[in-house]
Amino acid sequence: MLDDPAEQPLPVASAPAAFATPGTLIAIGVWACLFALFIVLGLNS
Amino acid sequence: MLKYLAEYEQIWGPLRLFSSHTFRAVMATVTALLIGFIIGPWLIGRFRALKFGHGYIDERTGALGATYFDKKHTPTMGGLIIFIAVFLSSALWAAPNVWTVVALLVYTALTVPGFRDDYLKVVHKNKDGIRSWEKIAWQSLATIVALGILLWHPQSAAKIRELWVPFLKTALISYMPWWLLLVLLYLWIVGFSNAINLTDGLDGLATGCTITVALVFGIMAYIAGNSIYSQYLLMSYVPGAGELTVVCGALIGACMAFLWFNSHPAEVFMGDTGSLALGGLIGVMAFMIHQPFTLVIVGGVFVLEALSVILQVGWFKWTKRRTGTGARLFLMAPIHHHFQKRGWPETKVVLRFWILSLGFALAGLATLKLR
Repeated sequence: MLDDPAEQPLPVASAPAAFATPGTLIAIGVWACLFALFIVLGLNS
Repeated sequence: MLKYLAEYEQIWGPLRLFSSHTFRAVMATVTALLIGFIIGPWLIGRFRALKFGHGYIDERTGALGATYFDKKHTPTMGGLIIFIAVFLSSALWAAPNVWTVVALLVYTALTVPGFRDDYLKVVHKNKDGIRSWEKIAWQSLATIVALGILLWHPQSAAKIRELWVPFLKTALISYMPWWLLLVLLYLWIVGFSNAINLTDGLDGLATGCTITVALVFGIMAYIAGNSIYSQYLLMSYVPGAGELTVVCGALIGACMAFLWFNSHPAEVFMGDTGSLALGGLIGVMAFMIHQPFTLVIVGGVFVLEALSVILQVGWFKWTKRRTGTGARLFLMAPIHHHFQKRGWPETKVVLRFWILSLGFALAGLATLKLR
């Protein structure tokens, strides 16, 4: 029965953590702005 | 972009240091190294969370579910560490010009499919990853955008059309038609992208070989961007290409930091995120400083690895058609696995391939005087 350790359901593996957290999105946004600035400066040089 | 500080040297003399390529290349190496060391452990932890949820702990027993040395459970996508370190360090220390913009654009354009491929495989457990047409589409896009910018920009429009080969004092072709440029650039970007991808099969192998290649191309970019040295060594003079020395410096620093974590037994693999993009970056830089064929010598390990796969597959198909049974040239391809099958320990294979890579690097540098 449920008291029997052998009958205990196996824990379900936790879902992978989401990659697109707000922190990640902000970092991507900052990177995109930096890259855009680099491209504008580079192509106008 | 810190190069702009050199314009204020009248206010404070030492700011003129920021105009020096060598100073900025060294600083880019150190910066990328530091960035790699700072973000490396954090990102590796994040990748573990992505892949395993609760890391290595088996929730039933509380014990380690996978041993530290089990490669099946080593997180991948470590190429992101290299990408962030190279990008930030290059943006900081390299002056923005057409050469650096194209180099970073190609690097970014090839990091995206590599990352998507790893993400699909690791997180969504899709063992096929991205479709081959999607990968080809990204590689084609990177090539077309790079070539478009190089042909459009006044600083590069004429220079990029020259074709130089080692051992010759002058350009072999002084004005290549656009279609030939497209074919060659595509071959180099895709070829080296896939070659490094194939090399990335043992801990530290691709990273170590990339460091030696980046070192040689850092030197060559410095010479190509210097009118006096390039004239003395009878190399092509490419104004502004000296900035690629800084990008190579950043690449060396980033790879050194990554190698710290990727050394055997690896805590992280670069995955397609790293290998596809690194190959494209090296390929396009070699092309822009007019040393595409020198890359075949300097990147000899990558070429050998790719050739071993082509020969293995080709020989298998040919013998199967002729005799009905496919024969193999190597015990396994790419060739580093052949030596593993022969009983060489992994670290021995890697160290010997690094020695080979150093030899190829020296041979590539020797071509500078053999003209």
